[in-house]
Amino acid sequence: MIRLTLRARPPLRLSLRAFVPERLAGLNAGAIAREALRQGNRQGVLGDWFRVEVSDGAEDRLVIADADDRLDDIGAGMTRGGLVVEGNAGARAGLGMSGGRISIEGSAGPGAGTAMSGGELRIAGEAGDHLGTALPGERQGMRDGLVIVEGSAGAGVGDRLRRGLIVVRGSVGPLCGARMGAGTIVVGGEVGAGAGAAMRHGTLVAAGKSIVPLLGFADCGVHELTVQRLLARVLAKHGFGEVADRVRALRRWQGDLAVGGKGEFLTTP
Amino acid sequence: MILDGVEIEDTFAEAFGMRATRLLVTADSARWARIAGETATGFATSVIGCGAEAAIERELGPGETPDGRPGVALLIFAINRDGLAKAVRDRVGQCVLTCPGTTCYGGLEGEPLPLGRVLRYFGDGEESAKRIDGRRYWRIPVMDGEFLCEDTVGQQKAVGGGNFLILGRARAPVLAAAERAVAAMRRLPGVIMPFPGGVARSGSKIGSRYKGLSASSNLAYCPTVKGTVETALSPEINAVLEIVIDGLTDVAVGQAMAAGIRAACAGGAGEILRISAGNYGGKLGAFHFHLRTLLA
Repeated sequence: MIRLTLRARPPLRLSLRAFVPERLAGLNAGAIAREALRQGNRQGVLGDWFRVEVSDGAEDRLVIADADDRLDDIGAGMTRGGLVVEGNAGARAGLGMSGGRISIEGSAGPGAGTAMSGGELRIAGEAGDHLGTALPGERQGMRDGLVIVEGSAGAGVGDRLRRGLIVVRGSVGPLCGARMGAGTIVVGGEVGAGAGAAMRHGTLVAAGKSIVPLLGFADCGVHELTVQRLLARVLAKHGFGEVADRVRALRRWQGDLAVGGKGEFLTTP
Repeated sequence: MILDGVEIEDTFAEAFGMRATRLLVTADSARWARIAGETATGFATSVIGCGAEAAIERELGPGETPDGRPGVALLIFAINRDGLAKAVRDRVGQCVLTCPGTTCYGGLEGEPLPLGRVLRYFGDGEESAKRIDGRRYWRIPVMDGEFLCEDTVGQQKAVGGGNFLILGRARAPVLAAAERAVAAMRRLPGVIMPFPGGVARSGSKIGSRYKGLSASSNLAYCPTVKGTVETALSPEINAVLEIVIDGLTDVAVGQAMAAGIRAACAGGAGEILRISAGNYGGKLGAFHFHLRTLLA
C-alpha cells in the first residue's frame, strides 16, 4: 500500500492527475517522491508536498492522507485498484476514470466523476457542481460507472449523462440530469429547478419531496414497475436502503418533450 | 444387476448434443409465474415435432430471483443455435410477454442469445433500454405496465435424450414407479423431463413403414402386439413407460437418471420387473449412459 500524506495546505492548486495506484505500484518511496508534480508554472516533485510511505499489502491501493480541497484531479484516468482520500478532494476527482474504486472520506469539489467511463466513485461528504458531467465541448458526459454521494451535490449533476448510475443521498442543485441521453440518476433529497431539462432518454428519480417537473414532461401516472424493484435492489446493495424503500411506487413523467425526449422523470406520488 | 429386486438391463441410453438456455420468469405471485412457465414450455416434448424441448426446471422463491418476486426457472433445448433462438423468441414473445405481471431474465452465463432486443419492437417505438447493475434490459409498454426483458440470455451446449424405460406387470405400478422417478429427478438442478408429467408412453423408433414418417411407435416395447412382432418384452410384462431427460451437462443427465432409476425401483419389487434404456446402437448419439455404470 502507498500512503501520500500532505505536509501542508498548498498555496496554489496541485494536480494529482498522474498519481493513480496502477502507475505507482511497484515503485519504492524514494522513486515516488521524485515523481514530477507541477506547482503552477513551476516544475517540482511529489516529495515537495507529500510524505511518501510504502508498506506491505495490496500494491494497487493508494491512500492520500490529510487531503485538501486544493488537490485536483485525484484518481484521474484510473483504471483499476483502490484509492482512498482521507480528507477533502479538489476539482475533478475521478476525471475520466474507467475502473477501480475511489473513496473520498470528505467532500469533493466541482466536476467529480467528469467523463467517467467505469469504476466507482464514492464521496462521503458533499459534492460540488457538475458531478458526473461532460468535459467542456464533449457531447456525452459520464459514460458508465457508479458515483455515490452521501451528502448533497451542486448544480448540473449528470449533465449529458450517457450511461451509469449517480446516487445522491441528499439534495441537488439546479439542472440535475439536464441533456441526459441515458443512464440513471437517483436523488434522495430535494431536486433543484430545471431538473431533466432537454433530457432525451434515461431515468431521473427524485425520491424526496414530491415535485412537478418542467412543462416538457407529461404525467404518465403512478406505477410500481419491475425496473424500480431492480433499481431499489441496487440502491439497497450500496447502503441506500431508505431511498430504495421510496422508489417502489413513483409517478412517471415522460420527457423532455421540448426536445422530443423519451426520458423518464420519476417522482414521489 | 438387481436393484431392490428389479433387474437393471446391461444396456445404455443414447443421447445427443443440443443447445440450451435457462430463463428466469417472475410474476406478482407464484401462481402467475407458474402459469407463465407452463404456457411457455407447453407443446415442447420433442424437438422433432415441437422445435424445442422445454419444461419448468424448478420454482423459485422471492429470495432467488433478480427482482425479489416469485418465479420459475425454465430450461429450453433445441437442436442448434438458430433453433434455440427461434424457440426462445417465440415462446417468450407469445407466452411470457402476454402473461400479466411477468418479467424475463437470463439464468445462464454463456454465449448471448438475443431475446429482449428482438422482442422490443412490440413496443412500437415507445420501448426503451435500461442498464441496471451491469445487465441490459428492454422495457416494453404493455397494458398492465411494462414487460421487462433482458436484452440477451446465455446459452450453452447441452445434452438431450437421456432416457430409461420402466417395465412392469401392469400400467398402475409402472406409472407409480415413473411418478416416483420424476419426483426424485425434479429435485436435481440442470435437468428437465419434457414429456407430460415427465413421462412418455410413446417410445419411438426411427423410421416407419409409412412414407414420410421419420419415426413410429417402438413396437418392440408395446405389450398389446408382443405376440405378433419382434418383441423386447417377456410374457409377464404388460406395461412400459419411458422417462426422457434433457440436461445442461452429461453429468447432470447421468445423475438424474441414476436418481430416477433408484426411485423407480424402490418399493417396486414384484411389480417392476426391469429397467432398460433406448439407444440406436451407439452410432448416432455422442453421449452413452450405461445403466449399470450409473448405478454402480
